[in-house]
Amino acid sequence: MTPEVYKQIAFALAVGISTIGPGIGIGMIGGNALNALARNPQLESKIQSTMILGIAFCESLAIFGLVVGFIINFVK
Amino acid sequence: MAAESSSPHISVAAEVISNIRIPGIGVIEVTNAMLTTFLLTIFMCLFGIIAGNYIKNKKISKFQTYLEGLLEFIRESTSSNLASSVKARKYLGLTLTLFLFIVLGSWSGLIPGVLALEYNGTHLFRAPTTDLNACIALAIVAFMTVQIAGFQTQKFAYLGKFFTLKGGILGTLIGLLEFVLEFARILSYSFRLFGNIFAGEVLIIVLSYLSKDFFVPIPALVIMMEIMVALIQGYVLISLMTVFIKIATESHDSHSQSHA
Repeated sequence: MTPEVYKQIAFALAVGISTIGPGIGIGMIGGNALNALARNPQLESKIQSTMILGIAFCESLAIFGLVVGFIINFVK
Repeated sequence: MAAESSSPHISVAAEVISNIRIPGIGVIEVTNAMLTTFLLTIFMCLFGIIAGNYIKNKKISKFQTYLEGLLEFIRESTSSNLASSVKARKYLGLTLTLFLFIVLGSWSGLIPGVLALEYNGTHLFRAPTTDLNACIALAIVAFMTVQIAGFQTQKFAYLGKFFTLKGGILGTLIGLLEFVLEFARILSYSFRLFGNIFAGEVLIIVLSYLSKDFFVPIPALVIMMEIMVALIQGYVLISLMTVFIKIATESHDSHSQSHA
């Protein structure tokens, strides 16, 4: 196997593994936000903005993995 | 370059398009992201001047209604995060500028055909937010604003949050950890922005390459998603900045549990 192949495997693993945690996290955030929305629907805008912030925090972990993957694969 | 090679051309760093030699100082490498940033800055200045003139008119136009909607949205979110409309007025200029720069900067790379223009074998334009340098610059602005806000309200008591002897050895260690986390926020702000926008651009490039034989405009759907992503990233950055300003301006005795 050439170094190129190792690089591509590393890219795939970096992105794939780092997506597991945020996937679970975003699911929990979305589910709990729906719960909160069902309990008090009048707080919709507040719940929505808090949910988007939480999702952005969670998602940034996956994005870190993606950036590391880009650096592994594309930086010579 | 992309036309001849069999796979799409993707570069993480911005490419140099020309060198400007200044006697006595040295050579300035002008990258494609810098060129786009200059053009965008000029566009935003003109936009601001025109928008300001529109608002001075007595007659309310459609354009003014859109602008006021945008202003109202940013003002609402800033004042709800800071829990005070007086403070919100103080930071409104910065949050609105950051939001507009991030959103317009990301959208500038989505205009069809703009990224295909080439000059001396390199791409002529590149969205500013897909250059890590620009993202780190924005992150440092947000970081410094938070620190200055903390010092302004609490003077040197602000440092007491990081270097403390209260709570024994554990308290001291947690304080030092907070100090490191404060700097880690620069990394998290900039990588979040860069990663989201750059991943979108790469997705568009790869999908355009894969679907070049089909009639269905698959990348168009991704571009619609990226328009939303840019808006959300702009909103997230200013929300985080204002939330951290609120935490920094509070006295550290009313300890709040919010780490990035």
